[in-house]
Amino acid sequence: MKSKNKKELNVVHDNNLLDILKKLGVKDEIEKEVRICKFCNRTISFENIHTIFPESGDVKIVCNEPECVKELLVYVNKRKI
Amino acid sequence: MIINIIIVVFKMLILYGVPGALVLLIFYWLMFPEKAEIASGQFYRFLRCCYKGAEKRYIAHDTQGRVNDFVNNFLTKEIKDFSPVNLKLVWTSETFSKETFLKDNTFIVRMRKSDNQNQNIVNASMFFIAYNVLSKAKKYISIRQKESIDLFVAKKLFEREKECLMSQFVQDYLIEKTNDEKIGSFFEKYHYIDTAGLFFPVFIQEMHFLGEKVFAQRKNETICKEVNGLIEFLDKYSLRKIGDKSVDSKFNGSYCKFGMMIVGIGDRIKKEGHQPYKKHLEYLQNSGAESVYLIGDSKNKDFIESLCAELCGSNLKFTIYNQKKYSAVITFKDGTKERRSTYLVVLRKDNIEHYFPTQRS
Repeated sequence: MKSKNKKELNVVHDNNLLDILKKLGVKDEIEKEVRICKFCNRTISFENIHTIFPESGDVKIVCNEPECVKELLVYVNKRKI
Repeated sequence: MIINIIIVVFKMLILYGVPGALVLLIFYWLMFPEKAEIASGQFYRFLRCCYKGAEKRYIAHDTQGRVNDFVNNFLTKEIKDFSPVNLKLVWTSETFSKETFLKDNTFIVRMRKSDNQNQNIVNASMFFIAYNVLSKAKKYISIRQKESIDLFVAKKLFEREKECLMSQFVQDYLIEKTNDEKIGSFFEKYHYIDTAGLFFPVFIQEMHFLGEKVFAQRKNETICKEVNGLIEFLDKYSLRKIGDKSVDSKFNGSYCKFGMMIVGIGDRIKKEGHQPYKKHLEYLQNSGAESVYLIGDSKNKDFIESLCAELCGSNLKFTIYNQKKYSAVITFKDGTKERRSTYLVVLRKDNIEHYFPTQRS
């Protein structure tokens, strides 16, 4: 059988989300509703988190609004280059 | 699907006992690894109520199986020389730390509880497609060109899946993205190009060739314009009616150079044999074409193959790169449309030039 290259996609399950956010030091900010989406500046809640990524030493969070998911994929394409 | 597997395994169990059933399962896993992965996902789905670890296993196997099935059993067949990259979901572990996260410079995508598995599959697929489909060519084209291609490829993925996945994709991605006028316009054109059977066999193939032969550092305006031209050309070509000679049959860009050749219009085959096609190929070669797409009704497959054998054996510098059957909608002179089984042969020039464009080119 031909061996295939694999692309790993890091994922977090809902059950571990709070733990990860705590380790990243952003859980309290989300609870206090002071964390905003990287693209739309809406308030991030535990319910609307879509993706988390690092940027310039900081933790960025993207909400699940369709326009932000769209922006995120553009960003993914850009960052790849 | 899992029900069918259980029935067959059960039959084997009755006929040949445990060894027989095991041999069958191993055979299935080796022959159809992606289908087996989806099936194992379904297996874990049933175990969720009694085994804690089954939840994540279901999400991972189901998502990986579906995406990898599309990559290995669709994209690799549609795009010649496509290097398949398989998706692997990696769960953030208990040893996760902020330092590693900041250093790794990677994305962490949220996977919802398995009640929302459709959303998980759509999100993971979109990330995967954005990263892996036409990764070389995407370096040089515009953001909207990239996005529209990703969106259309994703649509093809979800078309093969259950309807609820397509609805999730439409709701979460398609509507929002096609609201952008340019992306919407590209997407509409891809639809027509695909209906004529030319999206993967010609457009994506040419984009693949482009990625293989251009060595630029970054996005290049000339290439972006050329890709726009390529989409326009194929859009017009896909809407042409049978026998319409007013639509140009060659695309002669700086990087994409190819010609289309319809084989077997009317009773030309019987009357004139190979000669007119040989002449046309000479014309395309002299026009600088690096690829030639010979397209005809699949009932003319033997004629097309004998023609290609003669063309490649002659002094023309082309070899057969790919050949395949596919289904396409053709338009008659009176505007009526019909779906036909079509045969395609791609001839590729022997020595392809490589390009090192600069922003000044």
